[in-house]
Amino acid sequence: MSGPAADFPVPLRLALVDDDTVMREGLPLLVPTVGTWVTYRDCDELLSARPDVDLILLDLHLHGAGRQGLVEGVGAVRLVVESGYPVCVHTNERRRAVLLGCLLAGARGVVHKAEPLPVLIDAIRRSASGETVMTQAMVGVAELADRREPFPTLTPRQREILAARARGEGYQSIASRMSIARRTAEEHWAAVAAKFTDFLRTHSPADLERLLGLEPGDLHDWNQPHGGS
Amino acid sequence: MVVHPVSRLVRRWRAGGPMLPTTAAGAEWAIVLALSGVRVGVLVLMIPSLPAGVALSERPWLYSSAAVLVLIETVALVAWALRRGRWPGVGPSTADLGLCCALLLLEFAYVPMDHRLGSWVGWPTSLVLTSVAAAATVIRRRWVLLVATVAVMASFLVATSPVPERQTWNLVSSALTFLIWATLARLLSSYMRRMAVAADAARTAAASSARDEQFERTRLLLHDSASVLLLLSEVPVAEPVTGALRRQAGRESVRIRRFLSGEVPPDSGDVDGPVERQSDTVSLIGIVLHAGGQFTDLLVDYLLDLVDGVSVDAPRARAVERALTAVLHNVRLHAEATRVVIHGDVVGDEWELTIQDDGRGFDPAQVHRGFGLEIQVERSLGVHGVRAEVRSGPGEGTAVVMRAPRVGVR
Repeated sequence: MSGPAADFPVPLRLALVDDDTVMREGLPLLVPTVGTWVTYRDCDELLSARPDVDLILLDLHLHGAGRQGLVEGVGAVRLVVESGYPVCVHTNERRRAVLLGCLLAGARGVVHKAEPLPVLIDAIRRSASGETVMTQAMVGVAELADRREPFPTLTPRQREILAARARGEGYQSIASRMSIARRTAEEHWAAVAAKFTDFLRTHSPADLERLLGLEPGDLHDWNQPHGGS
Repeated sequence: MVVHPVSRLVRRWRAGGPMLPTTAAGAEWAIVLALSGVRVGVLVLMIPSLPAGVALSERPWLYSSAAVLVLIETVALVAWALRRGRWPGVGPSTADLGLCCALLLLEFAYVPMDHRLGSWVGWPTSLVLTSVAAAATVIRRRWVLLVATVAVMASFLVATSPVPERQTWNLVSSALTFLIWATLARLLSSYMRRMAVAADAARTAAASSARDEQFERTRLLLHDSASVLLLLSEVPVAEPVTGALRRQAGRESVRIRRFLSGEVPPDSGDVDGPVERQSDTVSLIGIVLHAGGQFTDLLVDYLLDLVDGVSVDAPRARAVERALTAVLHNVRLHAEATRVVIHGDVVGDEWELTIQDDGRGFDPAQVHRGFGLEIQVERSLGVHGVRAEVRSGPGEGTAVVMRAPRVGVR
């Protein structure tokens, strides 16, 4: 998973927001090389502390301890983003409407908790460097969106790489098949991901629901200021 | 109990079947029976003329001795042939031919002059015909056979040339009879032997093909089952894997029982799969989700929006489901993958399924694809009109791409 972001020269300053004690205690121990960590149980703790960090790794489901009235879900993403922090969502959530809602709310990336650690580290570094990080399901949504309403600025080569990524093909395989450098393939993909987020943010939730075959109200509900998880 | 070959032939005939099998051995038996029949027939035809021959011969004792000698030799030849199932080889046959020629050349000593042509008193001429025919079936080299036949013809001309009122053209025509017999016997025996050898080869090829087909069917039936059993036998196996394997083992056992009862071919779909519940066409997404649902231990991303509404006819659906299952078994057993993507798309008039893992991959130029990919996927799908392509590289994972025309699209 090395690439432009993997060469990040400086250890990152990271914050983890998760209601699970094991995650808060364990994750910094599992991925110590990526940077230094501070951890919080919820968004209130985070925003009270206002740490100086490069990225917030944010869980969507934050009421595990039984506390009520917490901001969580897409609402938490929006709140943290609007507070000026870059956010990468770290979740078990797989519903596409929810994950799209996170990107619409301003998250730079979404990564599943079930992913292997190298994938998580790569996602953290890419999100911190400003890239859009998407799960495989989100890549599929990007391809579907482009098929229904082609992204106007996508080049043929970028569209080819979108198709390859949607099929699960790795960068090295894409690079070999297209006779390009791996770094070039990664740069093409970064451009595709950026254009996809632009596409999302320039369309209304209702348009996106129609384009992507979602139920009416799916995205609208998730984009309420304090939507649940 | 050892059964005499002739008794075996008679039993076959009495049982209402063909007496001689269409094998190489059967062809030899046909030659033996034909030559024995002709030879014994000549002896039978000689018998009524023998008393007259003895009475007319200037040397009755020599005439009688020649007849007895021929009788003994014929019995020996025929008995040997009926016991072995083939006519005696080049040596005995050449000796027989030499004996007959000698009897022909010595006719001046024991056969009256005016009985050497056109009379059964002068039986050596007929006897030599049978000997020439027999020699023609065993002497392989053409030039040897030609020399022997010419020698017989010369012996005949020498023996008959002193006959009074002989007509040269009649003698030449009679001499040519030996050449014609030799040629026909050679042609017929060769043709029968070649036919029999070809029939044996065809039977061997058919048997081999049947064995191969049965082997392939058994491999198709048991390949996936073997991988399930292998994983179940490994201790310890993580609980989610064990659960999935047990469910698959149950399905495999039902499939094997149905195959053993002759209900379904080994490449049939799952017993409770979408294909079994419907008869006409099946949703491609349904096929994929059902096949993938057996592999809950694998992290599979399904990207199937683009094939929403695509249907597949039932036989093709079964093949696709079996192939998908085989691919996922391969991933589980060999790929060392952390995730699998199953992606569907429609390209022109075709649907396309891509199964991509992020495992170790392999070099297709160096590594054989294995039974799963080559037979269960590529060949089995090809039979149902689905093209399959396997792409891989070391460290690049493996992709299997299936493509086929959409139902109803022309």
